[in-house]
Amino acid sequence: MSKLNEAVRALLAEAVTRTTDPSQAQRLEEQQTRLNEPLRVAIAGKVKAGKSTLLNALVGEELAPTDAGECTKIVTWYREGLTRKVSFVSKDGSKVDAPFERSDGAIEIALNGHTADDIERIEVEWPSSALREMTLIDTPGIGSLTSGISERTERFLALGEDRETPADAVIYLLKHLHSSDLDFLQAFHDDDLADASTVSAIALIARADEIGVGRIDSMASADRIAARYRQEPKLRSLVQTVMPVAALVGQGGVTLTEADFRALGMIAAMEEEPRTALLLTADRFADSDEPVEPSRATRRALLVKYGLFGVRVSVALIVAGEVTSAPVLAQRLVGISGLPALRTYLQSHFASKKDVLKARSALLALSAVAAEQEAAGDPWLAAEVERVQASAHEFVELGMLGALRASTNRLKAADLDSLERLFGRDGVEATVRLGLDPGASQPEVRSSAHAELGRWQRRAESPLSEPDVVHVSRAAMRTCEGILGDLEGA
Amino acid sequence: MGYTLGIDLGTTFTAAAVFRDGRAEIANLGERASAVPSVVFLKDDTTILVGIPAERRAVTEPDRVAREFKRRFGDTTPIFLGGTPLSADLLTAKVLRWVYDTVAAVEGSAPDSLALTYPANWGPYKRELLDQTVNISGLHGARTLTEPEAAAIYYSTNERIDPGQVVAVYDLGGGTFDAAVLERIDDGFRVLGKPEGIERLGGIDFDAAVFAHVTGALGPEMDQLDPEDPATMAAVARLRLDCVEAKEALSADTEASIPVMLPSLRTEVRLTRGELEDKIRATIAETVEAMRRALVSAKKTPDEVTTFLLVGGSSRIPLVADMLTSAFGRPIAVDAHPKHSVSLGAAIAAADSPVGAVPVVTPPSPSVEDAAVPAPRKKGVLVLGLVLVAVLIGVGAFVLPRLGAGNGEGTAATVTTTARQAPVTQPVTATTLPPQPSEPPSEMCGELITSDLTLGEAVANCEGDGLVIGVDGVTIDLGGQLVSGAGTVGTVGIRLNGVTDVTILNGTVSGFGHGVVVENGGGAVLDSVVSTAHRGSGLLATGPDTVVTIVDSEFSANGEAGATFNDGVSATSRTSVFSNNRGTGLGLSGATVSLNGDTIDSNSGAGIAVIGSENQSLSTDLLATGVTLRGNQTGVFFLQGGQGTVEQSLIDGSSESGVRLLDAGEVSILDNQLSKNAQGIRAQSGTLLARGNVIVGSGLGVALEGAEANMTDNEVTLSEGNGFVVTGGVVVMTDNESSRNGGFGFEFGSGATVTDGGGNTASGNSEDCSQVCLISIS
Repeated sequence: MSKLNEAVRALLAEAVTRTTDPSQAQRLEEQQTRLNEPLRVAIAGKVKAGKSTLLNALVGEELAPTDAGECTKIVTWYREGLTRKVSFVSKDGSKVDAPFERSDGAIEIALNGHTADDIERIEVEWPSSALREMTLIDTPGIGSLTSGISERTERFLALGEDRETPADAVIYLLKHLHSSDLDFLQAFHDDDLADASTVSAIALIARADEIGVGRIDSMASADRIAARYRQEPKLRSLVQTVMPVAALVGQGGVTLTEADFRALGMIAAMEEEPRTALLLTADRFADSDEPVEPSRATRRALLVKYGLFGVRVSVALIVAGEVTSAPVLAQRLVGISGLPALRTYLQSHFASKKDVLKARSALLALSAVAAEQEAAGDPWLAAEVERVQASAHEFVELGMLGALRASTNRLKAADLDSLERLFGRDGVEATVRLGLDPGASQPEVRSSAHAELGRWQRRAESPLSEPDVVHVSRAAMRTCEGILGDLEGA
Repeated sequence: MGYTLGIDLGTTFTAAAVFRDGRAEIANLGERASAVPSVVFLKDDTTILVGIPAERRAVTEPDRVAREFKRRFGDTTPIFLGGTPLSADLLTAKVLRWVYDTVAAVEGSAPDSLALTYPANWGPYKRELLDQTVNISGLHGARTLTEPEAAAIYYSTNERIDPGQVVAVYDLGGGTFDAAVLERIDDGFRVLGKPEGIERLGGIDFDAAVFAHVTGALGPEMDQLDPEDPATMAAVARLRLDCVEAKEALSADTEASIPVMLPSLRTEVRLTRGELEDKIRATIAETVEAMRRALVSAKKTPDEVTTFLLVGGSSRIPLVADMLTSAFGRPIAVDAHPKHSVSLGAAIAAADSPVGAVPVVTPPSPSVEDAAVPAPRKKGVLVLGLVLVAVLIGVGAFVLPRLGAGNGEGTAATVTTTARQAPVTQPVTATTLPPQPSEPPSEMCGELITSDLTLGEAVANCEGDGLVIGVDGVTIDLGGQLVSGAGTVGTVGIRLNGVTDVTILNGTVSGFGHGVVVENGGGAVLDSVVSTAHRGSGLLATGPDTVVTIVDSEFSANGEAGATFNDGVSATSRTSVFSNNRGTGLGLSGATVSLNGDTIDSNSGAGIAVIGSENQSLSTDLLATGVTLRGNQTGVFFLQGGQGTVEQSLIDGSSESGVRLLDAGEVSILDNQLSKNAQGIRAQSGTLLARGNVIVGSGLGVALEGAEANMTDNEVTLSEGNGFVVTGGVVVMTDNESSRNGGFGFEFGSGATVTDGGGNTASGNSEDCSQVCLISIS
């Protein structure tokens, strides 16, 4: 456990015993419980940005309803459970089981007289290994047709003055950089935890397959757009990275059937000219009288499941002879979708950093309580929270891990690798950070840390170093100083 | 005169201001700029340098430098400098104390009270820690207030702000941005809502934008630079500084040229204000948004804000005011010195702090030192770290009493110089006065001498003058006897008023107000005379046509100068000694003095001070040949139009410069040996010819800061820092050699116009610059 997490736990425990306000005590105790729960990752974004599709792709099962309308009207939590169970949590905190049925896989919940306004959230408990490490939270779209829905989301994620964040991390889906997207991200961002702001948010160019109206090079375009967004100063200060994802294609790949493969093979076998004509637009593909096989109904199903881009890519791969079987196509589609890269990122930056992200959430909750107490004339907790924050280099490291590869700094690959290792990519033990043998002696660790410190000091002071490299170098210095400080203390 | 002090310890820059008589003024902390970088350097001997000297050392020893440590304030993990763990708050304490001592030394006294500022978003933990830091630095009782509060206080001294009115403070500094909204209350200001900040946004980013523009224009050349080559790195460092200057220039001009002087490439890159603005517009837009959030948090609309107050060096950029105006449509106020608004406000706030909370100070204080940095401050540190202070004390130590001006009162008259600051009044009391006489005074005391005289016994314990010479042409042989006074102010051991051709031989004069006084056209030869332990000067010569010849005499341990020549005197001295005086060894103003083979050592002031006279018709001219100057503060100091020649002399162990020019006339320094001076030759202004000198083991070899200088055939070696540093003036350099110095062989700042006359060589300088670093020579 990180020093930070320990410090936060200790502070929570002391704050609980000190407070005389039962509601504060309750909130603090909730935070204590939450520290031991899986990471809460919210999926947020504008209407029809592909939130539910992404959630399904991540879970690997079609749980969230994804019809074309605006379906996710209530914040819905998907957490691991022993049995399949759905419940309503109402605003007063009470929880009742909700009857549900699945149609085409998606869960359909009967509101049973409840309205979206009196339900705080829906909790879906589901046996799924994907949910073991993360609780996924589906949120209503921002910029919804009815303003009430987006307000619900904003209330959920940002919570205005009361700064406890129910989510430890956010995956934000965007199609294009839009000012309302930025306002939203800004709200999630919190200045008090300097450098912590970006540790727990990433942005996805969702529906990347639709960029360039589903042209075969859509993903390449999305990659370029993501790369450009990563350099956008405004966005960079708000999210760790920007990645392209075609969740539909990925989900299609996961659930590809032999029948689908055969149908796609038939299209690939057509003469080039009619095939090109057929694949020109979604309308033509769905409604064209030719060919007879695959039938119009089959084609429509393919379009819904894979999207025009997914169909085009699959056909092109088969035509080119790169793909000759359903399993290979499934694998290729999943790869193209960007989902594996996203999963890896979530694993390395969110799941493995749960400890720090949880501490961040707890610290935010603590500062909310501290602000109340300070306003009431007791600055003790405010001072304690500030003290913990002043030494919380873990947030900086996490931010660095997310941002290093994405930035345009002139660091060489070898430098980047040792920086990432130093910042705890492979583990937070001093030996791992320094790339030493696990059994390295204390003097070895010390001299290695001094050497590494000197290296980044030189880098920080070099007149050739740009400010971003200087910034990274100083963060690396602080990491080395942390190792050395621990040795001094030991 | 009492004053209060305000200190703004910024992330990248530290500034100070003083407040007296209802006026706040910027206090100069550095030589070239009033604000100094918030940078510290830990020396091997565990003492600490602050500001520019620290910055300079960063290039060669980056592991001993800490900067932007304000961001680490409160972090329990230490900062390691040269392997030594130090906390950010300790470093802060050191900088704080350094600022305090620097200002106290310049002002000549400690401030009556002190205030320092901190960011508005600091909470109770950091505020408490700041109070502790203040105590660690020995400045108990200092008032603390937020930075925007201080800025608003300063603004409100010039513009009326009524209680209830609201001011928005937009603070764009070197490395951080802060926005706060404040409301005027009866006794100051209070912050409304939550101040907004953007970490890591400031002038540094704009500098980087200019640098990127230059490197972009240079193309692939930049990628081929060798980061291991010290000369190249020094050139890149220079280029970065020029980029900063270009950025600053573009606040006033619409275009700037940036000189590129890389080893492989010399050119210029042009940048227009429009281009710069395009590069930084997005960044400034972020600050405007943060300002808007601060307003929202304060629950104020822009219309409710009386003024948007622009603070911080980068807020001078015209685009800032433009964008704020178009965003909020409200009046914008920006001070002429926005970098100092906070410290100026703090100085004013300090005046309001309770009386009795006055820190006691004896600058420089060892109390800053602590367990982690145990060694006491050494003189060398002061020389490098406190150059300005030392300079000013130096000026104050020139004690040139004028007759009839109540001299010898134990407080010194001070020379008014054209130094940037008011000279310091340094109380001088003679510590070497003889014991109070127990014997009654001799009968000869005060006798008017009208014929030749040889003393057979001492003229002792005179309460008034000793001997008064009444006629021309007499010879007084002191016969090895002592003429002594009771130490009474205003008395003179041997007085010659208007009489000429007098010879005084072989004896000791001691314990008067002044030893020997020659005035009003008098003429005297002093041969084998010792004049010592007077309250004032050993010898005082003044008045037109007064002529003094000194042979084999000694002027030592006097309360003021060894010998002083003023107002039309001409004097020569041969093989005499001027030592251990509390003021200068020998001072001349409006006089012509030639020295040959004299020894001038261990004086508290300059060895020789050559000070131009206020009377323009009197020239001040020194010719020193074969003189030995040792262990003085400055060896030879030419100032205020003083001029002359020093040749074939030895100038050794000066605690400041061996030779220094400040507003000097024409000075020739020829064929001397200068060793172990803090600076060998330092020329700030004046005209200098330095030829054939050997300058060894200095802190800095030669520093040319603004003089018109011709440097020919000099050798500078084994300096602790750079061999030659040229930061200003018009300089021609020919056939100089700079070797085995601890810094650069030659370093040229962009403020200088340097002509390379050829034949300059550098070798064996510190590992980072073993060759000539001609950075901006033209």
